Amino acid sequence: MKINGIGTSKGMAIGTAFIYKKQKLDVALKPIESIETELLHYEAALKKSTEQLKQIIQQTKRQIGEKESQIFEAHLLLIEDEEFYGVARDMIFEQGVNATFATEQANRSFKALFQQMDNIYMRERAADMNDISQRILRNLLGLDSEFKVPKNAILFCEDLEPSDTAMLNPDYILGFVTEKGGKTSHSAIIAQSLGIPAITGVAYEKLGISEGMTILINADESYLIANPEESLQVAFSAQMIQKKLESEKYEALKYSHGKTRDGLSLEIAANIADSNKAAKALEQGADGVGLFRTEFLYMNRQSLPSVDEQFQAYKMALEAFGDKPMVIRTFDIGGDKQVDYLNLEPEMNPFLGYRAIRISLDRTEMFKDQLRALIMASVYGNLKVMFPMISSITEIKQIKVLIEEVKTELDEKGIAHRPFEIGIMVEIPVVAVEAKKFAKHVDFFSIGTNDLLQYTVAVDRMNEKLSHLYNWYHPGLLSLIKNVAASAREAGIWVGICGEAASDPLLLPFYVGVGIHELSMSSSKVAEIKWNLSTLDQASCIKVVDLVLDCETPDEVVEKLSGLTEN
Amino acid sequence: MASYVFQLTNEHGLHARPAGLLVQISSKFDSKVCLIKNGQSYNCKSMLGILKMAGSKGDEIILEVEGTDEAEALQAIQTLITANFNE
Repeated sequence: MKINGIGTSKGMAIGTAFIYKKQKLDVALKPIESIETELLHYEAALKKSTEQLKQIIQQTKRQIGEKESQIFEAHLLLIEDEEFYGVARDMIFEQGVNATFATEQANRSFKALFQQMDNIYMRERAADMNDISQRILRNLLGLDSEFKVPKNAILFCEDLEPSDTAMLNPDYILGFVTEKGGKTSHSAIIAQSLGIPAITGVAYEKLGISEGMTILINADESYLIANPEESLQVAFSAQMIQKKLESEKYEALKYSHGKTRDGLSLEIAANIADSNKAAKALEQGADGVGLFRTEFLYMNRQSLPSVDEQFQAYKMALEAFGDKPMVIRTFDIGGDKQVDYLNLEPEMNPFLGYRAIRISLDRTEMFKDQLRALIMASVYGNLKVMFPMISSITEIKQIKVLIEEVKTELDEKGIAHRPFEIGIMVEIPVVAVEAKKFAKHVDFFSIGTNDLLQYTVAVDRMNEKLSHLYNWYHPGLLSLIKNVAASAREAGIWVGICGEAASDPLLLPFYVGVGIHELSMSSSKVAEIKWNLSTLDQASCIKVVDLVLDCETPDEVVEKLSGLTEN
Repeated sequence: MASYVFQLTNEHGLHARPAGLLVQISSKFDSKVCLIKNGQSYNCKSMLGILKMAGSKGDEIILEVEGTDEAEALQAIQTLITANFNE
């Protein structure tokens, strides 16, 4: 039986169904001995809950992580908050009801309060409220707050509450399947940090899943299979082994510089959009950063970032990468990336409008601030500066004048800086066509395939109706890439690719064949592409170029390229 | 009384973790500390109080501090806010 859900934490596993049923708690209204004893009973339960939480915080810090433990710190703050515990206490005191009943009533009112909030993140906090109340209730009723899970379990439950997950032994659990909860729910977050698969949106009870059934779970593809036939199970474990081998195989080459089987070096770099992601990119094996988007510095705020703020952000990222190259792209604002405080007018065709370098060269003060911060940061690493949406050589000349102005100004102030390369994004077709001329004015090119394709085939890449026409195997796009690479080689400059197509293993032989020097991609892809690269040799890659460019349609390109890997 | 007006920039609003930090810092001071959103005041020393406010990204919020150590309290909380609650 195959069941589809929503994968919230990636991975595959084979295990045995373990159904976690929460104990039904008796919360009925009951006569009490006296208000005093009931209040003491309630306070004792609060105290015990507090102690348990403190223990969970320590345990979570040890087993999972500091950040994950903070959710329990929040629980602790709530349980110690008079506005929280006072509600049930006052009910006991004023109405003479039993503590379990009062706790449940208070819980309902809190839950209702959070469930009606319009922020999804806050709505999910109703689960936290419930979690704390359940803990108090279990302590009032004298029930065990831990549960035992057998080995190799795939845990099924309605929704895991934070403290449930903290009490689980991560060594025994291979996956989570929940009925409720979204991508930001606690169970999803914990599953991700434990590195085990999780699927949500599965009504397992209705579907007849019972304890002890064999379960195959593939969260990458958002499905699970209960009681599989033996042949299916064999195939599934083969697939799992293959995935594991693949990732181990990728792991082996992760930290060595990208190169082909016959020793041609190719930089496999990461795209980052935030200085804090630099360390993560290094950890995942990036040889450098091929595209550091600086828009984040300008977005989600009320006013322009100061020179110093920008300088700190660039410095931090550059220092993390040391000698490894880091291409920082000046702001690409406008188009679909709006910044309120700049008061940009709405446009009919934002992708063809006032954006990126066009704003920079119009609002030069703002642009010079960014240049100032970049040039000041140049002494902290291997900086290269790139400019987006270039369509004419005049723009490059204007930029150079501004750079010189800033340098002179820094020199006058005695502020140190180091020479750095400057390059442009090749994303507007005229630049790709005339690459030979542009190459004389810059130190490098980076081909932005996403926009280059969109502008070349005249397809809005956000338009779902046209997605069949937005295809990076288009021979016309590949021909442009070849021209850019050839022009770069002739001029003696280097050329990279930083669009999504950069991490397509199928196109890798073509990139090597035309002489691309750098590929920049999501850091999670780096290890895989390095491995793929290590299986190629230059001579056969060069043959691929004409094979591909002779094709008439994208489909034909895919067919030819797929044929290569099969042989 | 000292006050500070700001706009919430956290992606997910003032959810449990940032709210927790706010409560921890506010509780260190003797002054009365509260946040005001849409004219309604919420006690910063109460976790539930802060969560009840349901501060979402983009909300305009006033921080009000009143008491003997209001200057220090304002400074400390302002630092937390400008650091985007360490997110």
